[in-house]
Amino acid sequence: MGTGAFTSVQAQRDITIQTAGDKDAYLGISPSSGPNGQYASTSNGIVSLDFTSTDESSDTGLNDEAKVNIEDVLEITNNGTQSVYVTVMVEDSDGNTGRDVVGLTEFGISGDDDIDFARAAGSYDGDMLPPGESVGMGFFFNFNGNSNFGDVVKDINSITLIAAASKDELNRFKPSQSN
Amino acid sequence: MKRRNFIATFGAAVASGSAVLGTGAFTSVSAERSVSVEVGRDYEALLKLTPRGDGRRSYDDGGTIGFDIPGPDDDDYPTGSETDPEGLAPDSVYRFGDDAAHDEPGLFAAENQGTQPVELYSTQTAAAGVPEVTMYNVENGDLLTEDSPSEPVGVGEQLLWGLEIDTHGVSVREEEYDLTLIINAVATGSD
Repeated sequence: MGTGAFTSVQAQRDITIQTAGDKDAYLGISPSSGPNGQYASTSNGIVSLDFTSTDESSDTGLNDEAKVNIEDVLEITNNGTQSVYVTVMVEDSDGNTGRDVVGLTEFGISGDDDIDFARAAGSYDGDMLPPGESVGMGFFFNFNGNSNFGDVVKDINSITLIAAASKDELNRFKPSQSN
Repeated sequence: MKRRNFIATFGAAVASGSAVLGTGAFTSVSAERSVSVEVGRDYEALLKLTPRGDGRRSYDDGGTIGFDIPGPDDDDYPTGSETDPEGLAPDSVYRFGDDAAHDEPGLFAAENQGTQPVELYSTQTAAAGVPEVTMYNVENGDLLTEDSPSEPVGVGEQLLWGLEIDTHGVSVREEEYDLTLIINAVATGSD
């Protein structure tokens, strides 16, 4: 050891990690307080989206073979310590992303007048959400030809929300085929 | 007489070496060695580990580096519009590439103070339902695992690292998760 020669070193270091529900985590996620918040729900602190169940009484049924834009489903809050770009990545069970997802010609998100998100559809760009600020997030689906809304949504395996403090980080999640 | 002594000693060394190999448990032998690292303080050890930046996500824990996520000082930043992140949400992947003040890149630095280039990677004691922590290179984003360690870090070279934390399958709870991150440095070509 005195010579400074070594073949391997293992250093065991303590790390303490605190968990929190979606609302209070670094990237705060909660259902919008508006009518479209019905497409989101919280269970055990985890927010989930469900576009297949609709409440007819609130007149928000979704159309097949159409462009569907649902504003303000989620409220996104930056609880972190620096500004972040926010986007989403949609993925089907075969690992396809973006418009390669079965039946989708476009998928995107909508922000509000002040903060525009990095678009999953269109330019993969956007504004940064400053620390402490909240913004509504909506979802936009455009179905190709004869695709049925319910089928497409069922084919979607996950919608991943992404917050990135730099363009380099953001680009790690860019869909293979952006449109 | 001296010659016989020498041979006897040599024989003993071989026997001892065989005994170690005979267990077939190289990794556990390697883990035992880490005790000798523990006694050295990180700033003067062969692998020099130093916290980076203000915010207290990485810190000097009495001679060795430690990590708290979120850092206890996260709620002091950013100055003027402080936030209060309470923790990491489940089913997420986080990367912490610097401390909460974002005053310098890297959550921590590792410098090779040995005499050979080393490859770095991190491991963690296997356990279900706890956050999975992996170190990554903040320059190029490469995640470092035993199968895919860092490029060789030259003698005297210091590189900057962050931590990726995967919370898939992790439950939200009041109590924090206390984990051990194992930072491995292996001399190039030694395996």
